[in-house]
Amino acid sequence: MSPRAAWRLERLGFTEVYDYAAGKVDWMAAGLPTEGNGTHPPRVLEAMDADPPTCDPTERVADVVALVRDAGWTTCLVVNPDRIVLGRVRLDRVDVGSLASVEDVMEPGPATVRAHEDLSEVSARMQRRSVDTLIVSTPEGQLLGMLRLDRTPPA
Amino acid sequence: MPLATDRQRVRELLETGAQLVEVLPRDEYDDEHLPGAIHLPLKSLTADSVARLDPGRPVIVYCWDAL
Repeated sequence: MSPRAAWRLERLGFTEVYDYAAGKVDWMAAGLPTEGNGTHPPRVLEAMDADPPTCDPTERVADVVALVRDAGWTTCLVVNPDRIVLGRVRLDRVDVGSLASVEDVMEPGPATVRAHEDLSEVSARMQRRSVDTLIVSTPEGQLLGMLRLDRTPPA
Repeated sequence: MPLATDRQRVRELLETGAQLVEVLPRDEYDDEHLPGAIHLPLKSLTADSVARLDPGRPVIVYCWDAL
Protein backbone atom coordinates (compact mmCIF):
# COMPACT_ATOMS: atom_id res chain seq x y z
CA MET A 1 0.00 0.00 0.00
CA SER A 2 2.70 2.50 0.91
CA PRO A 3 4.56 2.21 -2.45
CA ARG A 4 1.42 3.28 -4.29
CA ALA A 5 0.91 6.13 -1.86
CA ALA A 6 4.49 7.27 -2.40
CA TRP A 7 4.04 7.30 -6.16
CA ARG A 8 0.74 9.12 -5.79
CA LEU A 9 2.34 11.83 -3.68
CA GLU A 10 5.02 12.27 -6.27
CA ARG A 11 2.36 12.72 -8.92
CA LEU A 12 0.80 15.35 -6.70
CA GLY A 13 3.97 17.40 -6.76
CA PHE A 14 6.04 16.22 -3.82
CA THR A 15 9.66 15.98 -4.82
CA GLU A 16 11.18 14.13 -1.86
CA VAL A 17 9.05 11.14 -0.98
CA TYR A 18 10.23 8.14 1.02
CA ASP A 19 8.54 4.79 1.30
CA TYR A 20 8.99 3.09 4.66
CA ALA A 21 7.68 -0.20 3.38
CA ALA A 22 8.51 -2.23 6.48
CA GLY A 23 6.00 0.04 8.20
CA LYS A 24 4.29 -0.01 11.53
CA VAL A 25 5.17 -3.62 12.31
CA ASP A 26 8.86 -2.93 11.86
CA TRP A 27 8.64 0.15 14.08
CA MET A 28 6.88 -1.69 16.88
CA ALA A 29 9.12 -4.73 16.55
CA ALA A 30 12.05 -2.47 17.33
CA GLY A 31 10.40 -1.47 20.58
CA LEU A 32 9.83 2.12 19.51
CA PRO A 33 6.93 4.14 20.90
CA THR A 34 3.61 4.68 19.17
CA GLU A 35 0.62 6.93 19.68
CA GLY A 36 -3.09 6.22 19.49
CA ASN A 37 -6.21 5.63 21.49
CA GLY A 38 -6.64 1.94 20.85
CA THR A 39 -6.28 -0.76 23.40
CA HIS A 40 -4.21 -3.76 22.62
CA PRO A 41 -3.26 -6.83 24.61
CA PRO A 42 -0.07 -6.52 26.67
CA ARG A 43 3.04 -6.90 24.56
CA VAL A 44 6.39 -8.52 25.12
CA LEU A 45 7.95 -5.07 25.35
CA GLU A 46 5.96 -4.29 28.46
CA ALA A 47 7.14 -7.34 30.40
CA MET A 48 10.71 -7.81 29.26
CA ASP A 49 13.77 -7.02 31.32
CA ALA A 50 15.62 -4.39 29.32
CA ASP A 51 18.97 -4.94 30.96
CA PRO A 52 19.92 -8.62 30.92
CA PRO A 53 23.59 -9.55 31.40
CA THR A 54 25.65 -9.51 28.23
CA CYS A 55 29.19 -10.43 27.38
CA ASP A 56 31.65 -10.27 24.55
CA PRO A 57 32.54 -13.50 22.75
CA THR A 58 36.19 -13.07 23.71
CA GLU A 59 35.59 -13.00 27.47
CA ARG A 60 36.49 -15.98 29.62
CA VAL A 61 33.66 -18.18 30.82
CA ALA A 62 34.76 -18.09 34.45
CA ASP A 63 34.75 -14.29 34.50
CA VAL A 64 31.32 -14.07 32.92
CA VAL A 65 29.79 -16.61 35.26
CA ALA A 66 30.73 -14.61 38.32
CA LEU A 67 29.18 -11.43 36.95
CA VAL A 68 26.00 -13.15 35.83
CA ARG A 69 25.48 -14.87 39.16
CA ASP A 70 26.08 -11.67 41.07
CA ALA A 71 23.37 -10.04 38.99
CA GLY A 72 20.92 -12.82 39.83
CA TRP A 73 20.73 -14.35 36.39
CA THR A 74 21.42 -17.81 35.03
CA THR A 75 21.96 -16.81 31.40
CA CYS A 76 24.32 -14.41 29.68
CA LEU A 77 23.71 -13.11 26.18
CA VAL A 78 26.67 -12.91 23.87
CA VAL A 79 26.59 -9.74 21.80
CA ASN A 80 28.90 -7.84 19.49
CA PRO A 81 29.68 -4.12 19.91
CA ASP A 82 26.45 -3.27 18.07
CA ARG A 83 24.51 -5.44 20.53
CA ILE A 84 23.66 -7.96 17.86
CA VAL A 85 22.86 -11.24 19.57
CA LEU A 86 25.45 -13.85 18.65
CA GLY A 87 24.70 -16.51 21.18
CA ARG A 88 23.79 -17.46 24.70
CA VAL A 89 25.58 -19.02 27.64
CA ARG A 90 23.46 -20.86 30.18
CA LEU A 91 25.33 -21.36 33.40
CA ASP A 92 23.89 -24.82 34.00
CA ARG A 93 25.26 -26.02 30.68
CA VAL A 94 28.87 -24.94 30.91
CA ASP A 95 31.86 -25.64 33.11
CA VAL A 96 31.54 -22.53 35.22
CA GLY A 97 35.24 -22.52 36.08
CA SER A 98 36.36 -22.82 32.49
CA LEU A 99 39.06 -20.54 31.18
CA ALA A 100 37.77 -21.05 27.65
CA SER A 101 36.35 -18.12 25.75
CA VAL A 102 32.64 -17.54 25.71
CA GLU A 103 32.63 -18.06 21.97
CA ASP A 104 33.91 -21.61 22.44
CA VAL A 105 31.02 -22.69 24.63
CA MET A 106 28.10 -20.46 23.66
CA GLU A 107 24.95 -21.72 22.00
CA PRO A 108 24.91 -19.82 18.70
CA GLY A 109 21.76 -18.41 17.14
CA PRO A 110 19.30 -18.61 20.04
CA ALA A 111 15.64 -18.03 19.27
CA THR A 112 14.33 -14.48 19.59
CA VAL A 113 10.94 -12.80 19.70
CA ARG A 114 9.83 -9.33 18.66
CA ALA A 115 8.86 -6.63 21.13
CA HIS A 116 5.37 -6.09 19.69
CA GLU A 117 4.27 -9.70 19.97
CA ASP A 118 1.29 -10.57 22.16
CA LEU A 119 2.63 -11.29 25.63
CA SER A 120 0.06 -13.92 26.54
CA GLU A 121 0.67 -15.84 23.32
CA VAL A 122 4.43 -15.77 23.77
CA SER A 123 4.08 -16.73 27.42
CA ALA A 124 1.86 -19.68 26.51
CA ARG A 125 4.38 -20.76 23.89
CA MET A 126 7.16 -20.64 26.47
CA GLN A 127 5.15 -22.80 28.85
CA ARG A 128 4.34 -25.37 26.18
CA ARG A 129 7.98 -25.65 25.23
CA SER A 130 9.31 -25.45 28.79
CA VAL A 131 11.35 -22.36 27.96
CA ASP A 132 12.29 -20.17 30.92
CA THR A 133 13.65 -17.19 29.01
CA LEU A 134 13.36 -15.69 25.56
CA ILE A 135 15.53 -13.06 23.96
CA VAL A 136 13.79 -9.98 22.62
CA SER A 137 15.50 -8.39 19.63
CA THR A 138 14.85 -6.02 16.78
CA PRO A 139 14.26 -7.50 13.32
CA GLU A 140 17.97 -6.90 12.69
CA GLY A 141 18.95 -9.00 15.70
CA GLN A 142 19.87 -6.20 18.06
CA LEU A 143 19.22 -7.01 21.69
CA LEU A 144 16.28 -5.23 23.31
CA GLY A 145 15.84 -7.36 26.40
CA MET A 146 14.97 -10.70 27.88
CA LEU A 147 11.56 -12.12 28.70
CA ARG A 148 11.47 -14.32 31.78
CA LEU A 149 8.62 -16.73 32.17
CA ASP A 150 8.62 -16.29 35.94
CA ARG A 151 7.92 -12.58 35.41
CA THR A 152 5.13 -12.88 32.88
CA PRO A 153 1.46 -13.20 33.73
CA PRO A 154 -0.03 -16.70 33.61
CA ALA A 155 -1.17 -17.66 30.10
CA MET B 1 11.07 8.37 -7.97
CA PRO B 2 10.10 7.58 -4.36
CA LEU B 3 13.00 6.32 -2.29
CA ALA B 4 12.85 3.15 -0.26
CA THR B 5 13.88 3.77 3.30
CA ASP B 6 14.35 1.95 6.55
CA ARG B 7 13.70 2.60 10.21
CA GLN B 8 17.04 4.20 10.95
CA ARG B 9 16.73 6.60 8.05
CA VAL B 10 13.14 7.39 9.01
CA ARG B 11 14.31 8.46 12.45
CA GLU B 12 17.02 10.62 10.95
CA LEU B 13 14.60 12.23 8.51
CA LEU B 14 12.11 12.96 11.27
CA GLU B 15 14.79 14.72 13.27
CA THR B 16 15.40 17.02 10.35
CA GLY B 17 11.78 17.93 9.76
CA ALA B 18 10.34 15.24 7.52
CA GLN B 19 6.59 14.68 7.51
CA LEU B 20 5.27 11.25 8.38
CA VAL B 21 2.10 9.95 6.73
CA GLU B 22 0.16 6.80 7.59
CA VAL B 23 -1.96 5.64 4.65
CA LEU B 24 -3.97 2.92 6.42
CA PRO B 25 -7.72 3.24 7.10
CA ARG B 26 -8.89 5.55 9.87
CA ASP B 27 -9.58 2.87 12.49
CA GLU B 28 -6.07 1.49 12.20
CA TYR B 29 -4.54 4.94 12.47
CA ASP B 30 -6.69 5.81 15.47
CA ASP B 31 -5.75 2.59 17.18
CA GLU B 32 -2.01 3.07 16.85
CA HIS B 33 0.35 5.10 14.70
CA LEU B 34 3.92 6.31 14.69
CA PRO B 35 4.50 9.42 16.81
CA GLY B 36 3.54 12.56 14.97
CA ALA B 37 2.15 10.77 11.93
CA ILE B 38 -0.55 12.45 9.86
CA HIS B 39 -3.44 10.35 8.59
CA LEU B 40 -3.95 10.39 4.83
CA PRO B 41 -5.45 7.11 3.65
CA LEU B 42 -4.40 5.87 0.26
CA LYS B 43 -7.92 6.06 -1.10
CA SER B 44 -8.18 9.74 -0.37
CA LEU B 45 -4.86 11.03 -1.67
CA THR B 46 -6.00 14.00 -3.74
CA ALA B 47 -4.62 17.44 -4.39
CA ASP B 48 -7.03 18.78 -1.79
CA SER B 49 -6.27 16.24 0.92
CA VAL B 50 -2.50 16.58 0.62
CA ALA B 51 -2.70 20.35 0.90
CA ARG B 52 -2.05 19.94 4.62
CA LEU B 53 1.45 18.72 3.79
CA ASP B 54 4.36 21.05 3.13
CA PRO B 55 5.67 20.27 -0.38
CA GLY B 56 9.00 21.77 0.55
CA ARG B 57 9.76 19.13 3.19
CA PRO B 58 10.41 15.41 2.77
CA VAL B 59 7.42 13.11 3.16
CA ILE B 60 7.64 9.56 4.52
CA VAL B 61 4.72 7.23 3.88
CA TYR B 62 4.09 3.94 5.62
CA CYS B 63 1.41 1.33 6.12
CA TRP B 64 1.33 -1.89 8.16
CA ASP B 65 4.17 -3.87 6.59
CA ALA B 66 5.71 -4.72 3.26
CA LEU B 67 3.36 -7.64 2.48
